[in-house]
Amino acid sequence: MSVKRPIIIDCDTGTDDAIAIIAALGCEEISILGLTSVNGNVSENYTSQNNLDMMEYLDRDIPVFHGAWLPLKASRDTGAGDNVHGKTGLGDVELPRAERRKMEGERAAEFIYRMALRYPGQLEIIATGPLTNVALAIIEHDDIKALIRKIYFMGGATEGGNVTPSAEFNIWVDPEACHTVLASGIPTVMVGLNVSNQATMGNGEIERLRGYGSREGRLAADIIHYQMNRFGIGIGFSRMHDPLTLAAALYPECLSFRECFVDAECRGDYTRGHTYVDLRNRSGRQPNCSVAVGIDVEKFREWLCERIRRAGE
Amino acid sequence: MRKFVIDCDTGTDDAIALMAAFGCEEIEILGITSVNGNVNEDNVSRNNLNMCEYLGWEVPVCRGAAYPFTMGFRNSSDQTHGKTGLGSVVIPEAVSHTFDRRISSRFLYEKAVECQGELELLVTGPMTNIAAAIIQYPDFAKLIKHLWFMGGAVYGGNVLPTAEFNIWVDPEAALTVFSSGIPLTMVGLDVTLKAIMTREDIEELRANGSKAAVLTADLLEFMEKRFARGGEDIIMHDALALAAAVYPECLQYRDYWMDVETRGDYTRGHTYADVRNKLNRQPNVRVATEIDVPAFRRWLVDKICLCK
Repeated sequence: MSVKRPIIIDCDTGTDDAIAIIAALGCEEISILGLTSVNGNVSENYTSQNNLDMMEYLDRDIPVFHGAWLPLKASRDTGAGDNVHGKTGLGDVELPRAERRKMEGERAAEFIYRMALRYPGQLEIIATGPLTNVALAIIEHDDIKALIRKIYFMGGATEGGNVTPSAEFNIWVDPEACHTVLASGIPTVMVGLNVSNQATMGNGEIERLRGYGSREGRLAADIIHYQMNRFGIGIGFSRMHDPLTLAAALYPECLSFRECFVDAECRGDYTRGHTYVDLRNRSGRQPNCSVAVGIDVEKFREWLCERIRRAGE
Repeated sequence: MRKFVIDCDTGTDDAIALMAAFGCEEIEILGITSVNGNVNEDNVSRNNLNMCEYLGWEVPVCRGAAYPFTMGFRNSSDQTHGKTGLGSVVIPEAVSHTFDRRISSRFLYEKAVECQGELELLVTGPMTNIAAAIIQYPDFAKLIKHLWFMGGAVYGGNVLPTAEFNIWVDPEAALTVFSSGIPLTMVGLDVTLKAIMTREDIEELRANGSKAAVLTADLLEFMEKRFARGGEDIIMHDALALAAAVYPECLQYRDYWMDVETRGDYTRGHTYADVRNKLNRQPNVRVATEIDVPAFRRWLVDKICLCK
């Protein structure tokens, strides 16, 4: 089929979100309908500005939308992310401020619903931040469940965590939203830390990306360089959590999956934000998620570099 | 004139609150937004639309949240409000009035901007729409002059011994609203359980003969029969929240710091009021604690009779 897959990227750009977006620009098989922004790695005013700046810098006609600036359960102590992504979200990488392009007037949840109506049964969402926008679209529109083909999300882990020993950042920011998405009945694909921690890039890839001589290649290389050297400690590699989620949608061959029941822990004094992945089917609940459980790192790196190369052509 | 949007889950007593609101000359109603609650959102929004057409109200009616934030509770039928939300009362289906194209959270935000800080909200159902506006629009909370809501209780509950229905349906949304900085007045079960109408009131309304008065009498009679069957009494939960906004003299108030319990094996949906100020925090909610029942009943009957 020559028809392009309609896709919305919902993201909290974000260093590795930016790399995922660049790679998506190199994927001819998809049509990126829009970038919807969400609070997460940094606050929403930064993530949306980063998305806009990127689209202008890379000269792409993809609309950018404001989205939720708070999680669903917005208590007083709700804070924006940490400084893993630097103050503005792109580390020490500075893009020129967009001058020609403006934010769209619609909010993320409104746009997601309108696109679901326009592409019934076809729309796919790649969510690389907290799932607040997607959850809002679901709770505000009872008919959306039958309209969305699939939601790929970066978040959670079959075991372990990064914010806490049992919780990954995106889910921890808005566990209720993750629960709502998983309870909605829409088919979901989860790419968690158990695979994304292995999806690393390093100096070899930086050289390769720079060698493309394109803005896309250089920007990706600069971001990876920042990630490897942040906090003044060279760690020798950089993790591609969000690009791997894009790969789950467009190059699933580099991953292996298990059909599982998954839910987000929304209470828990110490475990809030944990993704419960019922790998052994102990709960007896119907699977609601394809969970990435294995990764072929070499294949993934090759695919990602190649997509970034194509993005710059 | 004071400007209001009414966010409701109509609902027998929501319907009465709406009619009373349209009888209040001192307020302008800019629109009605619908939310899942007493019955599901499809029925709620149909009821709102049908009422507008039946009673000749030219205001926008918006669809709203079909689920609470965490999906849990979606009402399909309810003993208290009947299958469609208006008990045994049937009004004609709207044929010319259509829904506003905006989703409730967007409509609330646009009205808040238009009113430049003067918009007040009357919320008589779960707080999902309001919270959705808060988390999507950074300036929304600051633009709301005051929010009057029916929900919660300092002491007691109805769904649970410690939780009231509207808050219990969507505790996360309520928590987001309580934390938002919007000036809040809570009209909870502490006072609403006493706001009981009587046979006298029903007869006075029926004798008045206006469309709204007769419809109200029909709804009150449904409640009267419901009570006779062992259900809830003829209680005006939602109209009392309206009274707090436009006839505050019929209530007494205390200011408390409040929060919402969202965990709790048995207490999810509880509204916690720091009644002894043990936490020493700035109060964020004005809470109705006492009610002058005869004054309220008189006021309500009068406003219904003024409803056009």
